[in-house]
Amino acid sequence: MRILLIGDTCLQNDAVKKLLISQGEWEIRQITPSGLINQDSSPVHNQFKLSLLDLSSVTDNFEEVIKTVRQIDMAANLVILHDNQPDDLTQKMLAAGADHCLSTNAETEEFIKTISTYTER
Amino acid sequence: MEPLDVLLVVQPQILRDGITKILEEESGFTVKYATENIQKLTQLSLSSKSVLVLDLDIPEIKASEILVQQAENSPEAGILAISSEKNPDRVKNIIKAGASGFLFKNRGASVLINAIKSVSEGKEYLCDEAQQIVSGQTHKLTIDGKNIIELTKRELEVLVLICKEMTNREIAEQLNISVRTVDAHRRNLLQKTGAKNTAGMVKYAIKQHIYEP
Repeated sequence: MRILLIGDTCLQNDAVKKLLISQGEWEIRQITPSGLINQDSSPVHNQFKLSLLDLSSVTDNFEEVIKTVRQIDMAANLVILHDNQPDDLTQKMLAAGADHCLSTNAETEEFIKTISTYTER
Repeated sequence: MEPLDVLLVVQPQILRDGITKILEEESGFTVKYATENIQKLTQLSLSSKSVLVLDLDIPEIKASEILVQQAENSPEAGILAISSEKNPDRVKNIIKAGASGFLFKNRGASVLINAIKSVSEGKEYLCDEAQQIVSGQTHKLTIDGKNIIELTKRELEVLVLICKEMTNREIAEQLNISVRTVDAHRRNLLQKTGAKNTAGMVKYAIKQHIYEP
């Protein structure tokens, strides 16, 4: 199953990629948020099972970015990875189109379990 | 060749576990210990063939004390500090306290691997941004004979490109850095120049002769 990691290159995202790849059942492609929004070619509808958006890589209005990711519609599900955002902000993320918001402070087991849930849907 | 022992004191768990897997797949590394518990660190004695990766973002970490203690207990071990916070004083203080290297977390895992290797060989490793801070490649802006603002070389480059009406994405491409890093520079510039917005920064750059339209 294919997962699209939307985020810049950094230690956190490389760690996330490695954890997912090491599960043995997921193939990961990474793209920056601006790269996703400014793609030259037309994106293929639902070519990924899940988009995983690293919120710390988002520099513009995050609600707009989430809506845009939804509109581009490259994946069936959208999970946001964030740095301990307060509840009201996670509610805004869900309202903008995210299926789930997951803190980077989550335990690895919970992280993998969440990803599994959304790739099996 | 004897493998290099790596001790990770890193938070959060996703980052720690991911780095552990990355290093374990890299030839020549053994992750001997991975924890977020600073207290456990004081019980460990590091061999000369080991590198401690110390995450300065762990809340309430007293990094300087740890570094001084490790320097006494295990003077030959390498210590690499990592952090998200780009605070010049922090970088300088950590290096002064005995860290052999400093890496910002907006760099990829391949940079971390190179940093660990360098530190294990007894070399000092600073990522490019930390290097600019430590080597004093900064630009001091003077008003009324007093140095009031210090901008790094990179911040100056970003400021000039902002003045040229380039977007964060265009600046990132031009300087070969991430958009997030550009955004961090932009925030620092706003803070340092006291400007409220981009127009304020441009006005400031023109006034200080950093940019001439």
